[in-house]
Amino acid sequence: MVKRPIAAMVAAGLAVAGLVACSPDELEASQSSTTDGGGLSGELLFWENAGLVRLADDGTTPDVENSFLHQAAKMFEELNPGTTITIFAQTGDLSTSAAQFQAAVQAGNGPDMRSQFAGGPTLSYADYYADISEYLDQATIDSMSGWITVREGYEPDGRAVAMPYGAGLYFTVYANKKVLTEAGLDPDNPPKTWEELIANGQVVADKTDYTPFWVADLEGYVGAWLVGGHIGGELGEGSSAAMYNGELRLDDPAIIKAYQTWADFGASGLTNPDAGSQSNQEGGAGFVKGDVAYYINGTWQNTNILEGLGDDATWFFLPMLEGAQYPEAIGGGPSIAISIVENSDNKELAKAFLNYLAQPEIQDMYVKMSQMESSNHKDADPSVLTNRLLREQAEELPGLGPVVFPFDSVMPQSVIDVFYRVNAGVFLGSITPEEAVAQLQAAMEIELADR
Amino acid sequence: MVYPACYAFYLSFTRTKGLSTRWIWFENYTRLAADPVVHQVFLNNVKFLVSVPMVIAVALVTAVLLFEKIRGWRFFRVVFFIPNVLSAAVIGLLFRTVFGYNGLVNGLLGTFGAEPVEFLTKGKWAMGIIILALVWSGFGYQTLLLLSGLTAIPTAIYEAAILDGATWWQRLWRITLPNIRQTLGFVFIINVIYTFTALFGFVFVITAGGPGYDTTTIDYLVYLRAFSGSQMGSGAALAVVLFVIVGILTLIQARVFGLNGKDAV
Repeated sequence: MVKRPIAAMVAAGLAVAGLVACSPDELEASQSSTTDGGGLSGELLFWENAGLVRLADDGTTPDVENSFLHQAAKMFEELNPGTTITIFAQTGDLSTSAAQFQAAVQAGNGPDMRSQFAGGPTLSYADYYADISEYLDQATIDSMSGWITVREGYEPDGRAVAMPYGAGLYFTVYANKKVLTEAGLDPDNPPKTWEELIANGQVVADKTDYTPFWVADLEGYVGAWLVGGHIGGELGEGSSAAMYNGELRLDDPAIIKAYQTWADFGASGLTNPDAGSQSNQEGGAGFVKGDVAYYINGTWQNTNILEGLGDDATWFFLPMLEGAQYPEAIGGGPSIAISIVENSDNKELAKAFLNYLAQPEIQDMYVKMSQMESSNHKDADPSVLTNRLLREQAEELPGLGPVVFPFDSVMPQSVIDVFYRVNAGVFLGSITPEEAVAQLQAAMEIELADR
Repeated sequence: MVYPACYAFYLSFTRTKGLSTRWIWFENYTRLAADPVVHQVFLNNVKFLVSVPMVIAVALVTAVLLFEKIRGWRFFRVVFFIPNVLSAAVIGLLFRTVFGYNGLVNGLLGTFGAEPVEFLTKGKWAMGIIILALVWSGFGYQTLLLLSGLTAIPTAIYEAAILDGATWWQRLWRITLPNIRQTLGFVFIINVIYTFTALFGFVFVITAGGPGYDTTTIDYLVYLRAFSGSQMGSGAALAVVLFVIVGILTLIQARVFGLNGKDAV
């Protein structure tokens, strides 16, 4: 009878000894980078949350062979023997991922580097990130575009807390040529306005058994793209900074109008009936089954759409509302931002990896592997754009504009969270556009008071 | 326990994103009072209180049946407790799968020719599903608590009542319920506390508080504010308000059920 407690005490003692042996100080020491003999060594922890990692079909496991960040890390490790880059792909929604990041940093076991979406999702955590200009030389900074999206306050002289990566992603409507043709519509003549697009959807509904629009709005993302895009069409390029700085109220009539359009779309009956239950990850699969006319998403879906529909795939940028002040506005902009975490113990190694990623040929590799966007480096190689849809987009973009950095890229994370939530509610008719903007304005006032 | 509680109280008077802190007195509280989202979420929690009488009613009936040793009572006693050994995440996933748009329930409805229902994306339905999950997962534990109260009642009282010709209902109302009043009071109190503080797991997994804020509870909003929205001060202030509300409700219930330190379970 006495043996069992003694055994338990011995086991507990061994466990405690084991834990002490692996104490945080020791772990940190073993993970910290060194420049032993002039070469780099150590382990770098990189949390990814913006599309630099390609996931396998299960949506959680990295597809290492086709994942840019994994391949870049592997090449870096080969160039720098003794270094290890551990990549953790944050696969939850943006809010959850941000919460995990903050909690980890506060607990002292956060990453050394993180990639997240540019704009609000980066700047909301500016305190957590180091001034990136201390880790890149001026020539490297000057060789890349998109810096305004990672500078505090969106000011040209604001502290840069990340390195923008990629030329930008844009809100796009994908279309299935076969379905449109069967409905008697011309796939090579895309609608010029949102109202024309809805009318086309009605034609598909009237003349075929196909679903006019595939929407996957469980998280409220589709609403974010559509509302954000249409706000850009109504208010133009300067509206983003004006909203962020509190100069433009979020219950502005133009924003209510964009929300009303979204509410009307939800009530139109032209979407898949489970639009509110479909997650963003499931959305692409629903469209490429081939029995849907249109899919509202963004250029980040280029590869999936082309792989799924092949020659039947076509696209056009999200059309603005009839009578919009900026009828050719494009919603989107720089998407990926790479940061060094302020309290990292491995800043030297992080600096080396950041500079490695900043090289034009490595950025070309990103473009080649992802086919979502062009490079934002001035020495980019355009021949790496092999995806037909991406090539067409790159050709069309220069003739259009203004490009409006959208709401869910610009605003602070707390407002973006509310934005996604109310978008889902407006689409399903559980709240009105007026209630939605009132909630957004209330959230923004809290943020403004924080500054 | 004292340190985190005091620290949360301190944070509620500050503005912080976790790394640096600024003292702002009562600003977090005044903003909460004027925040339409907070109003909606408080109302949601009040609606969730519907689950309390439901879970207690189910638990009471079950406890009485087990107490009377109905056929197979030993088996049912184990079966009813099984949900309690499952985590909220597992239960949430189960309900999300069963009531999803392409889930079992809609499949069954389809066999009768009915249109599928968006259980999890229509506010009232979604709240109902969470309440159902709460009742299903909680009634086994409440049953055991009530059963312990029932077993404390001297059997001689029942024997005397039966000899006097009391019916089953009369025994329930005149003997059983008065004798387990304090146990019942305790079960009421912990259920109200659960409703305010333990719905997080279900809400997180089943609806993530949506659509909009239709199923967001105060504890979930604390998480959203403090971690997702990086407003630790606002989240802490909300947590303090929640603590005060739960405390007041507990005191009121203790008074109503006549609980005191000596008699409480």
